[in-house]
Amino acid sequence: MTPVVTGIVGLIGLFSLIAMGMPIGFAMGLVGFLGFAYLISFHAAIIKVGVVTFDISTNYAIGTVPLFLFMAHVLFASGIGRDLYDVAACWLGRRRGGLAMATIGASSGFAAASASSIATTATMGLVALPEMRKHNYDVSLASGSVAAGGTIGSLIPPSGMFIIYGILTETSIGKMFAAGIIPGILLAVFYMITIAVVCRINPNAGPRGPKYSFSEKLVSLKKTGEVIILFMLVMGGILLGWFTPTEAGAMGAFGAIIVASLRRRLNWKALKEAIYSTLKTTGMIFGILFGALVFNSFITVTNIPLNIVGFVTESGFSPFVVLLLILSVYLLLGMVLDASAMMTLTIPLFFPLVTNLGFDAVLFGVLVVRMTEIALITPPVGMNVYVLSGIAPDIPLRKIFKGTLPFVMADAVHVALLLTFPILVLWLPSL
Amino acid sequence: SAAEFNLTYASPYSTTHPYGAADEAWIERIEEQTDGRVDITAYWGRSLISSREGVDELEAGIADMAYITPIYATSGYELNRLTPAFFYGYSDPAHVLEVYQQLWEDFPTFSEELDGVRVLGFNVGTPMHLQLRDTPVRELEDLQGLRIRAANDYIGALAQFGAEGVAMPMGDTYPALQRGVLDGVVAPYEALKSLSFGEVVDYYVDLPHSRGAYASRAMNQDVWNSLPEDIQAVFIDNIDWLTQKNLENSMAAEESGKAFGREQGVTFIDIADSEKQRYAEAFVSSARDVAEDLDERGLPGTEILEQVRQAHQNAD
Amino acid sequence: MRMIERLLRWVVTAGAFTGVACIIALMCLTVVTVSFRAIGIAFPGTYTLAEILLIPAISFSLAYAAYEGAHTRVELMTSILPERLSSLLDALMLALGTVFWVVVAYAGTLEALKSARNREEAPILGFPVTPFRWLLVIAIVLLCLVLVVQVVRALLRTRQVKEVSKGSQS
Ligand code: NA
Ligand code: NA
Repeated sequence: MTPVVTGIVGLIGLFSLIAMGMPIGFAMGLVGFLGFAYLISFHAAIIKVGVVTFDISTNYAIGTVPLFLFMAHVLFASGIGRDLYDVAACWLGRRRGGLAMATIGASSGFAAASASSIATTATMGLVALPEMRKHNYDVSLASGSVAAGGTIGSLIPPSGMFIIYGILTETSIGKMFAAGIIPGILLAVFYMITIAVVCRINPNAGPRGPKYSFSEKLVSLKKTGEVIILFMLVMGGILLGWFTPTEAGAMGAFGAIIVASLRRRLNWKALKEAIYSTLKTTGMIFGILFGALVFNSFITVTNIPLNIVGFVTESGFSPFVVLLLILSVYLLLGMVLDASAMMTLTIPLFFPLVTNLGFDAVLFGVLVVRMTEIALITPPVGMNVYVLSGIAPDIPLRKIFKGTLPFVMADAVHVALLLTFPILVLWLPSL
Repeated sequence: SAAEFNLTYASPYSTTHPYGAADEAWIERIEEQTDGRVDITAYWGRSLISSREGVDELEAGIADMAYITPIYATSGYELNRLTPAFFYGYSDPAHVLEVYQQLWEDFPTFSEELDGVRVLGFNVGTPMHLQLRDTPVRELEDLQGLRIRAANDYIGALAQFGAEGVAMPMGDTYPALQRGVLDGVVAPYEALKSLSFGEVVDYYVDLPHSRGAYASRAMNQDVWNSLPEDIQAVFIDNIDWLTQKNLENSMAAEESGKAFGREQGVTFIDIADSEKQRYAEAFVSSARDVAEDLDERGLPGTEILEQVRQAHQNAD
Repeated sequence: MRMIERLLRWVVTAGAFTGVACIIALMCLTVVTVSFRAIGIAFPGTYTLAEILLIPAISFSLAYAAYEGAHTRVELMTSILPERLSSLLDALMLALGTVFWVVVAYAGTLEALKSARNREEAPILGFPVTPFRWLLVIAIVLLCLVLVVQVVRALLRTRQVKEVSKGSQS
């Protein structure tokens, strides 16, 4: 078999194993290992597995995920997350889909403190998802808005993806950070409109809650005091330079424990439950990451990505068509590859092409980062969706993917808008 | 493709990086000089090979050729990994390269440590300096209390002048400088532009942190053995070319880093030679420790240290 | 079987405790580093230590998640098949999936042996890293054992179809 054929066989094998109920990470790891061994050698495959698994087990940046999870589990176990959503229900619950919109808003806010999509999704999945379900939200809409909300984070600084892009292409990281802000806010608005549209089509998706008087609303705010302090502490700590975004997870978890204890909401039993749940969700996420990394290595050596890139590079189409093609390539590769793998594999090849065609490096960066984030919520391999389904195991994957679909459509409109009016991206960095 | 020998090349760097650009030119040259009998497929930016375990990965045949960084390995390759620390105080990369390549000739252990691979090129890093967010450093006493991101090798020296060395991952450094978690970073001119540090630092102090040199490009030994002599000869003939091209690109990147820094309003501070001298002395004891550790392992640590220091003295 | 399960539970609990301790230590390490940084006291080794602590935290979390049946999977096929067949498919899929983790454990063993041979040390702090590499191997071996027991359990289920399977994974 040629490498490309091996890759296709591998993909078919992967989807069959997943459909037959093999845990997703295990299936990716197994197919990735066997494929790599077939294409290179058994020994090479063993070494590759050893290197990538140890690498990810000692990766400080990804290693903060357990700490963000710990924070979320503490907020959940102590009922603080519930309080927050009671307040949201009070203020926004009257509007159809109001809680899902609040989730998008909260995800965007949280994204300003976290550099990682997975951390945002996992946290909001723990805090927001149970509350939306309690308020009778359709599981697809509820889970879709959490999974999609997690992708906003890469546009709002600090953003790990912008830093990777900046380093790979020597593009100004400061300009990337500035460029992401307007598209990020715009995306949050788009997502909220999407929720409104979904609820217009299916009024039961995000049912109206009871009506509260203005004084009741004001009283409800009392419940949020500590969380607002916690949030300001984490955000303020980052903005004032007390700690880095990767350290924010630990500070947030510690702060959550303090806040929950002060409110006498956190007894020993709840804390124990929070920490063991953290361990469980951590294992679930890294189970997928271990497999995904091995699988990425396999896909790399099948040369499928290189062939697709080569096709686009040599197509000879007009610049704009080439750019559209490139974006479609990301959509395609994003179905099976993880976001950072896609970046490192394709950017060194696409970047010179795109800049030679006269496109702005910052604009391209924002578009690419956006495309890699969309990949996190498109089937069949979508990391945010997998993470969420690990947190809420009773929701079938296909329901979450169904829920992310309207958001992917909103993304398409969003990307088209940025392509048509690049000024939305380029205005802030030009100041 | 129609070529006789289809080889893969993997690098942790990308083609915008000076090392990646050198590789790209080298690949083209090899293909041309072998009349298309060799065809090379390249994988950039860590997509196929890591920097920590690159040598082992190459040896295992994950790629046929690779950019290797034995200096970043977690263990093993002691001479290759640890002797670059002996080059403290050096400021001319060309001189570092010359002295280092002499070591390779004088001490066969260097190549024996890498016996699963065939070395095809060397790399010398341009020196790193001190980049500071908002505090100028004009004498070493100004370092007192500053938090500075630095490679592990430099943390001890910084500490001797009261600065706190921080071993932060590169990805965190930009935001940390931006917000003031860090006061500075030890990085080369090139990083002003390539890592955007020019945007978040106000001062560049030319206090040298030499990086030494290392064997940086190699081919899997079995693949090498499978090639006919005339093809091998092309690779061998290009070892110096690749090494020089790499240095050339690094020097050019240094210049564009400086230009970007000026554009961003970075103030460049020339620190006095006496301060550079005092700073270099701060590395003496840790270099000696490394040498003794190597001696203990039965390697010519002290001997190499003396040779490197002697060559530095002779150049002055 | 019951003996084995009891033993396994005990070992998994010990492993989980190690993982939990490391996550808490990781949090405290960062909090202490950040606080002391504010008053000008530095710990240059924080990142090194954090990276090392991550090894047991992550690897034991993998085993614990397997024990809790938390690894994400699609239940499409197993939910439409008759129970006996679905248990058989379960067993087969878990057994095949275990192969991957056996590979991870074997690869980890090679790396640990290399680390021991080279006397690998943590940068800055200088303590040996090899024991932590062995911890990773131990945790992955534990994960494999958990999976093997689950395979056996699923196979037993195919024999006693009538018994309601309560421990089934969600
Ligand atoms: Na962010
Ligand atoms: Na996807």
